[in-house]
Amino acid sequence: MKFQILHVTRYVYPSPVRASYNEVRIMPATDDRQICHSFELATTPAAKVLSYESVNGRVHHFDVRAAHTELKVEGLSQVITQPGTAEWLARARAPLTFYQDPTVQQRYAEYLQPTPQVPLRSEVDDFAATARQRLSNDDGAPAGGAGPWERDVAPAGAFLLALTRTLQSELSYTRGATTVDTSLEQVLEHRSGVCQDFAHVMLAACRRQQIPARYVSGYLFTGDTEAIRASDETISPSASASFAASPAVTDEEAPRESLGGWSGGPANGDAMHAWVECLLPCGQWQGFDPTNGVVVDESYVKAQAGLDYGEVSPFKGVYDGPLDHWLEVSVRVTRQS
Amino acid sequence: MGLLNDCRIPGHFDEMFDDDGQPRPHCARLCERLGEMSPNDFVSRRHLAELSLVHQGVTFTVYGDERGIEKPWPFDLAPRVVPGAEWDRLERGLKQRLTALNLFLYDIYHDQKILHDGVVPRDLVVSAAHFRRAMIGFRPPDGIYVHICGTDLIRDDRGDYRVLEDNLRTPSGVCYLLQNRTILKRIFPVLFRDISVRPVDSYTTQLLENLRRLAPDRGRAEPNVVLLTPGVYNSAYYEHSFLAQQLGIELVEGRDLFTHDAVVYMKTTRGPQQVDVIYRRVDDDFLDPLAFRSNSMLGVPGLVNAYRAGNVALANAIGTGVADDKAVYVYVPRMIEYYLGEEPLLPNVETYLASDPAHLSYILANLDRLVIKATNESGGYGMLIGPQSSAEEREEFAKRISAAPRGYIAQPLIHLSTAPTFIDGEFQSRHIDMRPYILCGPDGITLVPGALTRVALRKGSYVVNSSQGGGSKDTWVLTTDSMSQSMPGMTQSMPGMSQSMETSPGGVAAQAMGALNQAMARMQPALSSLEMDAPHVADAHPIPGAYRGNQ
Amino acid sequence: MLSRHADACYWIGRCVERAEATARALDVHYHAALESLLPASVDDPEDSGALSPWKAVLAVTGSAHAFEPRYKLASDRNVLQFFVLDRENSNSIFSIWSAARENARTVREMIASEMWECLNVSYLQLQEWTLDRVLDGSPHEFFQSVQNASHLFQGVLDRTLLFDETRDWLDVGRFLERGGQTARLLDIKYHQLLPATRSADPGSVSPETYGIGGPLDIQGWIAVLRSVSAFEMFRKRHRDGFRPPAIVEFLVLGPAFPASIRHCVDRVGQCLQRISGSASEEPAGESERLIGRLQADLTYARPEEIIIGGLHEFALDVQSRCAQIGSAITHEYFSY
Repeated sequence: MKFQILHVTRYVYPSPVRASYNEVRIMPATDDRQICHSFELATTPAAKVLSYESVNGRVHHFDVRAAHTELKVEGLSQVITQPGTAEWLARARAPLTFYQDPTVQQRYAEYLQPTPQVPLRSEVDDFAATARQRLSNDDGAPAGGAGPWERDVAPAGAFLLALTRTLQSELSYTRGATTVDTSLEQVLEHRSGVCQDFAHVMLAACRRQQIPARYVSGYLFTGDTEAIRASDETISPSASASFAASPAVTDEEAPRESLGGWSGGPANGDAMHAWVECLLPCGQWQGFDPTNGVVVDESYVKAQAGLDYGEVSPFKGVYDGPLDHWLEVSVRVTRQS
Repeated sequence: MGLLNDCRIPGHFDEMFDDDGQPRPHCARLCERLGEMSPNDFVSRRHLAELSLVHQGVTFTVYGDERGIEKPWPFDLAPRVVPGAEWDRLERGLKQRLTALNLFLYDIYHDQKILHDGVVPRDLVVSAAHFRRAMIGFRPPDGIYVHICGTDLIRDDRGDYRVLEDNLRTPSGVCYLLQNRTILKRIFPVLFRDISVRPVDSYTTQLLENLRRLAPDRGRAEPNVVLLTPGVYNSAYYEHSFLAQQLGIELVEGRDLFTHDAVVYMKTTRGPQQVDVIYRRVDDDFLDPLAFRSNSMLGVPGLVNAYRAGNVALANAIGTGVADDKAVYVYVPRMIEYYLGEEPLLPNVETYLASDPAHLSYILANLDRLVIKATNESGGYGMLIGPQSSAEEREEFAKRISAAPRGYIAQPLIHLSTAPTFIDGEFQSRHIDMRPYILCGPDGITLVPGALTRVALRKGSYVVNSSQGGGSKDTWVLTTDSMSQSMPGMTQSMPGMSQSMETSPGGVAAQAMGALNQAMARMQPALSSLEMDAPHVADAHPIPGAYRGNQ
Repeated sequence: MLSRHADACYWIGRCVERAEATARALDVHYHAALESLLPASVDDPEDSGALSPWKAVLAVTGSAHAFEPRYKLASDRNVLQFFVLDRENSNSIFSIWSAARENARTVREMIASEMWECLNVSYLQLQEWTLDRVLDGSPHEFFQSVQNASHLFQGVLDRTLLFDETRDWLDVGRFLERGGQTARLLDIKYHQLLPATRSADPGSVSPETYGIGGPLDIQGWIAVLRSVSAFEMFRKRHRDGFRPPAIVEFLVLGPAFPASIRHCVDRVGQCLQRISGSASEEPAGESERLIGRLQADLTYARPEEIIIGGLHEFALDVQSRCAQIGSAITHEYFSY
């Protein structure tokens, strides 16, 4: 699918900001399932936008040193995504024992360790247990998995999909329930959160199972739901029906409190979506969206992948100015063909 | 009875006296000089040294008192002597080590070959507190990460040198190396007579040259090099201000700098001046609130992006701390073999990794005999000295180690070598260590023949940390192997000494004071505290499987 | 020179000068009140109370809003506490001197150690003063000690510091502050007279008492002259009595007296030109432009015009222009 994405972020301050330094991580990635063939970032007041390639994706940065009371950042990108997901399960038939291999654990060590936002709490093991339960009960499990699903011999792909669905059903999506500072513990306690929290919980659950997993920020096309679900069906026909009904959600959060001044910077407002990528035994990374309980398909546009939200937050900045500010974010994902 | 007698502690290697209580050959002439001296003369010179330290501001400040009670930096006048050939071996070992460490840093921030090849466990590196994942793929100028390294060496009970740790972030203490020599030359010229000691004063020249060479090429004759300090309240501020003055560069704080379009500027009364090279004495975390800790007020927003853009150079590079993580330290000898195909010349202290299950159980069973260290700390924090600990402390550490094994390592207690030190009117034996400073520039690695020798001033103590009763000694590296070989005519390394040698001691000292005060009058008092771990007592019981460094 | 260092030097200069000016103003007005034709201290809020010299000092220093909520009565005791030892008042002598010392701490490597010692020792001595001690003896003794500390500092500075940018910044601060303070004193004079003429029934105000050249007017002028240590110097120059135009000429327009506004502005201008390296004809920036303009006005003004135009308006204008110059300097040199 071909998308145009317009991502506009506006900060309004009650009194002038003297100097503002910002990093933006919203440029769509180019990888084996999507190509970003154009990206432009413009700011008002105008600034020279520079960029560099990080391990997680392209980072744009700029500063505005003239006094201003409003900062607008517009990112415009053109992306083509491939369906490319039809065979993912076929590639994911190897049993979970794959992940117990010390060589694998060493090779992907960073995707297995705790991070500031993803402490590896033992509570998340419940989700994995439920997912296993779901697998053994689920008569509609993907082909290749007849008979009782034993721990560790469950095909990796089926387990990950079951885990994705488990999180979708056991956590409730509550817009504004959490902020960037909400800890994983709080999310687990209240069993609710936004897509970032779903992703963090899934990361913790995977990493506890020694499954290398990373956080993905990006965009989700929701305008043409049926078409998207159709492609979903080709992957797991029997299961998709129950999930197609639930509307896809992304985060459009209320403005958050700034930490303030040099010491805090603009809040990380984003209307972007978040999901996870897990390593499959075939060596490929496959996306799973626990917020919507689905496997990532061509309606998902990935921007960056990192160890947690903190590494890939779309807007990060510090400024010299008033603590308070007002934030407005809008994202338009338009399908072009 | 002379001033200096054999005062060894049995079971320890003494730097000055051999096992029979006889002066070692390279110390013979020094022993003779000291032996000829009266205690009163020695005491009065020591007093002069202290005075000059106070006047220069080489002092500790007791915090919390408005008027500031300043104590002189404890400086023992009897130097530690290293024979030329012994130093040359150390020098080769230290160069080898820093070469490998720089290659390692380059590797893990680029291709990660050593991790792919399984020589160093990947999980250890990526979980190191000072590993900067965000810097992967960035190439610092000339590919050099560590420009200034302070390596802590100790000698065990057989007199073998071992590396205790590498300080690769913002090593401190070099100003005391330089000051100790300056003061000793002026106050005590007679000690140097007929002993040819290699000079150390090329340090700042070499450092400045290396820093200048780091500058991005902007077609400008003179690059703008600055020293970035956290500020006057930092415990090493005295050193920052001393070095800035010696190097002739501006001493700046974060608020003196700003960036625009990925270029760093210094705010001056003549407008913004572009900065090319920053010798930073600020930790990674506090460099740039945009890149690292957003709640840091010390940093310069945008500095890291200017660095990435190649518009400014930093010394040391960002992310070097991963290689002085105490768990990664264990693998330095293997790095040397891996990158250089050489046998390590300087061995490590054997070390047990709590993250290794087999070692963990050994550590927990032997807490009372081991030194436990937190892997990402320096300055003696997060440490347990087993034999000197209480049962409660050991229990507490057992809990901490079990909860976070990656965070701890253990080492056997090592006898530190001793040296005669003037205490309470006589020479007594005290434990010492050694920190040489190694510089890496585009033309290679250099180090001045000298080091900071730290002394645990309390009797029986192994703690050389200056904030805990540590002092220091001048460290002499001889041009030859022993003093008896050196001829009077060979003292070319001490220009200027010939004049003062003929003057009476009082005259020399008085002259010295005047010159010193003039030269150093504008120094600030500051708390001097070196980041250094307190080592190590006896009882090295090697167990099978411990990482022995150089085998 | 690093902006931060220049900024610190500039503020050392300002703070020391301000501490001295505050001590002078308090000293003179405290003593003038003792023999004034006006009541020294009016504590009755029903009365306009405006004749109290303290009220004038509070008004002119812009401190009334900070003073009133905490002290209410403008008694000798309260006002002295407020202006001398109050640590919450950022313009008390104690606070100002502390600020000078803190700034000096950050540039200790750049100034002579004697300068630091001078500030530090005076600071430690200031800490030992209590209000009772100030009032018990003669307050004059205290005020004199502050002035002496300032003079000692200036003397040490003159004798030890190189003729370089460090000194220029200290002088920019010192003279900009001093010029502004002289303008303030003129305004105190105005405030003392103003309420009496306004509040009283116009018919009952005797021009002989209150009018220009009247006894009260003259007494006020003498106080002003004394507070800048200009009484004797003025006498030497003008034996024909205290004619207001001559006094204005002396304190404002003349280049001879070291606290005259003209002299102070000239000095600031010279220092800034050395710093920026600009030629005298072309201002290097906004601060030099503002200074040049003020210099021109002072050069071509006549004392009678100032008196007719209103001393208060004139004093306010000078103060606000000094403030503009200060903020232009800050923006051009320190925090851009």
